[in-house]
Amino acid sequence: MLLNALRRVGVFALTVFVASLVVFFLLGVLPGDPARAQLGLQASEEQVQALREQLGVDRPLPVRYLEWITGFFTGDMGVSYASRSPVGPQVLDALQVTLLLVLGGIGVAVLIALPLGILAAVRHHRPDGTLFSGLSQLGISIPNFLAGLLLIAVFSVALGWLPSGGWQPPVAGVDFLRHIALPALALGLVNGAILARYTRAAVLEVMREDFMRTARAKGLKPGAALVRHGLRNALVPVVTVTSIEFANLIIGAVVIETVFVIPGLGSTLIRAVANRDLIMIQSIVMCVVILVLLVNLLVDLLRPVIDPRLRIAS
Amino acid sequence: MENLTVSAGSEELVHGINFEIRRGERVGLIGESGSGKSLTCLSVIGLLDRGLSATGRITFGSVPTAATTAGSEPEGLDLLTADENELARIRGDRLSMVFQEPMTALNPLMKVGDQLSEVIRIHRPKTPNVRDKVDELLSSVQIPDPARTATVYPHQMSGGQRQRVMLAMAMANGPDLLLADEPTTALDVTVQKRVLNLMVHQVQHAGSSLLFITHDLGVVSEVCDRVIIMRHGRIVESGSIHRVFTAPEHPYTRALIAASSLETHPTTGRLLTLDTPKDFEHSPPDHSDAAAGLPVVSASVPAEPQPEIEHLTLCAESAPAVFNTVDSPAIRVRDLTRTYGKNRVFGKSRTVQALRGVSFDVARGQRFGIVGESGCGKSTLLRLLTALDQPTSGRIEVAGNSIVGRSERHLRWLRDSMQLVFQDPMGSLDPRMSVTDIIAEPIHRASRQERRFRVEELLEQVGLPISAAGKYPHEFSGGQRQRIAIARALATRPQILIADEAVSALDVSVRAQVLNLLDDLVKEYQLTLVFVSHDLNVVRHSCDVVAVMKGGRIVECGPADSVMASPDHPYTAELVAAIPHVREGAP
Repeated sequence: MLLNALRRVGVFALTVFVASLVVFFLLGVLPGDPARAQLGLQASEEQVQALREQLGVDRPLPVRYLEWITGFFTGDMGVSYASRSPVGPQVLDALQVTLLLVLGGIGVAVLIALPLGILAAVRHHRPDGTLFSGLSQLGISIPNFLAGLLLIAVFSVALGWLPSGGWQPPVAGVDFLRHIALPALALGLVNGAILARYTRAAVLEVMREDFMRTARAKGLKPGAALVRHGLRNALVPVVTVTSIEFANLIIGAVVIETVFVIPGLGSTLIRAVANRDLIMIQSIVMCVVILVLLVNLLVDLLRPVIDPRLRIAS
Repeated sequence: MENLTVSAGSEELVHGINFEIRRGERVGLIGESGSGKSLTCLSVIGLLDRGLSATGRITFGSVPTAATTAGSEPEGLDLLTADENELARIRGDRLSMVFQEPMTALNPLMKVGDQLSEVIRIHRPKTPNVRDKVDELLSSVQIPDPARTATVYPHQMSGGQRQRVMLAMAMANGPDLLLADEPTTALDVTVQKRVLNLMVHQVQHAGSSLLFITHDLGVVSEVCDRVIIMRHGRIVESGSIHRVFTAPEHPYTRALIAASSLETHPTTGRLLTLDTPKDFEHSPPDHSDAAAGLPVVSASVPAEPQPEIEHLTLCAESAPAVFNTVDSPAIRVRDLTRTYGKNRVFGKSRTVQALRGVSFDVARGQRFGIVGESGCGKSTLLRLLTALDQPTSGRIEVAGNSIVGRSERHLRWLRDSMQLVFQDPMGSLDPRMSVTDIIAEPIHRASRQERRFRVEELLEQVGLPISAAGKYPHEFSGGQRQRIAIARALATRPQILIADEAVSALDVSVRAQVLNLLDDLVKEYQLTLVFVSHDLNVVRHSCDVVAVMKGGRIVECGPADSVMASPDHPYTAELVAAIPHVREGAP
C-alpha cells in the first residue's frame, strides 16, 4: 500500500515535469513579442531589441526554461515583463484568493449535492424525487456567471444583505465570510447540480446491489441499510467525480472573479494575457496545473482508504 | 402459504400457490428459470423488487416453541400484511436468507467480522462479547483461523468461504426458517458439496426449517426431505423426495428428472427433452424435422472409428505426460505454459502460473472434453488454443500449423477454421445487431445473396424459424440465443468448434436440446469438438475423451466413460464423488 502511494507520488512528479515542458514551450512558440507589446508600434527596432535583451527573451528557449523552472520551485518566479515587479508574490496572493474561493465552491457543491442526490435517488419513483432530479437538471443548465448575477440581484441589490463584489482576506473574519458567500454560492450551485446527478446515479446503483438486499434480510430497515451499507459504497464514484469537478471549478472561478471583482488568479491571468506577460501566464498556468494534479493525487490516495478492493493485496 | 399470487403490474407471475413447511422440515422448491420459485421465496421474506406485488397469505410461526414463546412476537404473523417494522424485527432473526451470489451479497467495504456482528447487534443489541460469538460462528461454518478471517474483507475470500460467511450470518440468531435461493449454483462442485453438507448440519443443529430453492435436482435430493416442483408460476407436483424422484406423477416432473440426469432415448440414443407445446413454433422438438435429414446414429457409437485412446494419469514424480497422442491431430499442444504477472523492480514479483506444462492431442473428428473447477487453467488454455493470447512457452499446432507467435494477419485461416461458442448466451451476442448480421458477420466477404442463403440454412440447422433472421437477441430465450451463437460459430464451416461452458447457463430441459443439437451438428459438419465444462456428467455424455485439469495441469485423460467409471487420480475421484445425484433406488 505504501509502495503504491509512493508510485503515485512518482507519477505525479513526472506529470508535473511534462506539464511544465508543455506549458513553457507552447507559450514560447506563441506569436507576439512581449517587448514589442510593451513599447508599442511606434518604438524603433533597436529599442525593442534592447528591451528583449533586458527581459532575457532573446536567449534560446531551453535556457529560459531551465531558469524559469528552477526559479519556479525555489520561489523566485522571475520578474513580470509588464510591471517589472517580481511575479512570485503576485501569483501567490492571487492563488490564495482563488483557492479559498474554489474550496468554498466545493464546500457548497458537496453540501448541495449529497442531500439532493441521495434524496433524489431514494425517492426516485415518487413526485418529490422527480422534483429533486428536475432541480439538479435546471442547475446544470444555468451558467455560473448568470447564477452570480442573479445572486447579486437578489441578495445585494434587492435585499442588501451581502456586498455585490470585492474581497476581504480571511483575517477579516465575518467580513471575509460576507464577501466570499455569494461568489462561492454562484460557483458551487452549478457544480453542485452536476455532482448531485452523479450522486443520485451512484446511490441508485448501490440500492440495486445484492448486498443491500442482504442488509435488509439481516433485519435493517431501508433507511438504516442505506446509511450503514449503501452510502460508503456510493461514495467511491462521487469522490472521483468531485476531483474532476475541481478542475472545472478553477475554470469557473476565473469567470466568477470577474463578476464579483475579486483579485484572484482569474483577473491576474486575464491582465497578463492582455500584456503578453508570458512569464506571468506560465507561472499561473503552472500553479493551476499543479493544483489540479495535487487534488487528483489526493483522491487517488484516498480511494483505497474508502474501498479496500483498491488496495493491492500483499 | 395460502393462495400466494405475485404480479408485476397486470401480469400474474405466480398463480395462487399453496404449501406449508413444518418445523424442522427441509423443503426443496424446484423449477427452471421463469417458474416463479425465486419470487415465491422473496415474497416470504418481503423483499420482492419494486413493481412486484404479492397477495394471499403467508403465515409464519403459528406453532409456539421455546424460541417463540420467549419472544414477544405474535403467533401466526401474516408476512404479506406485516408492516416494515415487524418484518425488520424478524428478518435476520427468526427468518433469514442465503442468496445465490456470494460475490455480491456481502458488502465489499466492510470487514467480514463486522458484517457478522451487525446481524447479532441488530437483534440483540446487548449481547456481550460479540467478537467471541463471531469467532464461534465462523468456526461453526468451518472457516479456519476465525479470528483472522473476521478482519478480512469479502474480496479476500474464495467463493466458497463467502458463502459460508453468508450461511453463518443467516444462522447467527438461530432462525426458525432459513431461505436459500440457489446458494451453491455459483460454486464449484467440490465446494458445493461441502457447503451443502454444512448447511444441512447447521439447519439440523439449530432445529430450523429450510426452504431451498434450486434448479438442480441432484442438489435438492442431497439436502431436502420434501420437494415442490414449480412451473410457469404453479406447483405441478409435491411430495417426499423419494416418492417424487422414484415415481413422479406429473409428466413435467418425469421430463425434468430425465433431462437433469441426461437420460437418453433407448433406441436413438438422443437426450430426452421437454417437448413443450409452447415451444413448437420456435424450436421444433428434437426428434422431428430439425434432425430429420440426419441418419440416426446411436450416441454411444462414434461417427468414425476412433483409435484406441489411452487412459493416462499424471504422476507427481514423473515429467508431465503427453495425453491422448494420435497421428496428424487436429490440435497438438506441447509443454504449454502461461504465466501471468511480471517481475517487478520494486516489491515482490507477483506471478500466477495459470498453465504448467500441458501436452495433449485432439484427433480429427474427436469430441474432446476438458473438465476442471474455477482456477484450474481451462479458460487460459482456451484463450491460447484460439490464439487470443500467447503462451509463455510451448507449442500449439492446429492442423499441423503453428499458431504461436503469429500476427493476427497470419491467423485468418484459424479464424475461419476454428470457432467458439461461449457460456453466456445473454452477453455474447451484440444486442444491437440483428440475428442475420450476427450470423453473417464471420462471412462478410461473401456476396449478399450467399450470405442470406447461408443464414437461412444455418437457422434451419439450429432449429430456429427463418423469421428469426430479422429479430434481435433480446427477443429470444436463453436456449434460442445459444442456438444463434452456434449458428454464428458454424457460418464459416469451421473444422474445429470450441464450446466454452456452452450449456452451463441453460435450464436442464433446454440443455438437453442444445446438447442434442451439438451432437447433430458435430456429425453433419464433421467437427472436431473441444468441449469445456465444469460438469462431468455433460462431458461424459458429449465427449469421447475427457481431460481433467487441476492447478494448470492435466491430471487425468482418457475415454470419457472410463475416466468417470474408474478415476485413477484422487482429484478426479473427488470430482466424480462430488456430483450431486438424483437419489434413486429401490422403492
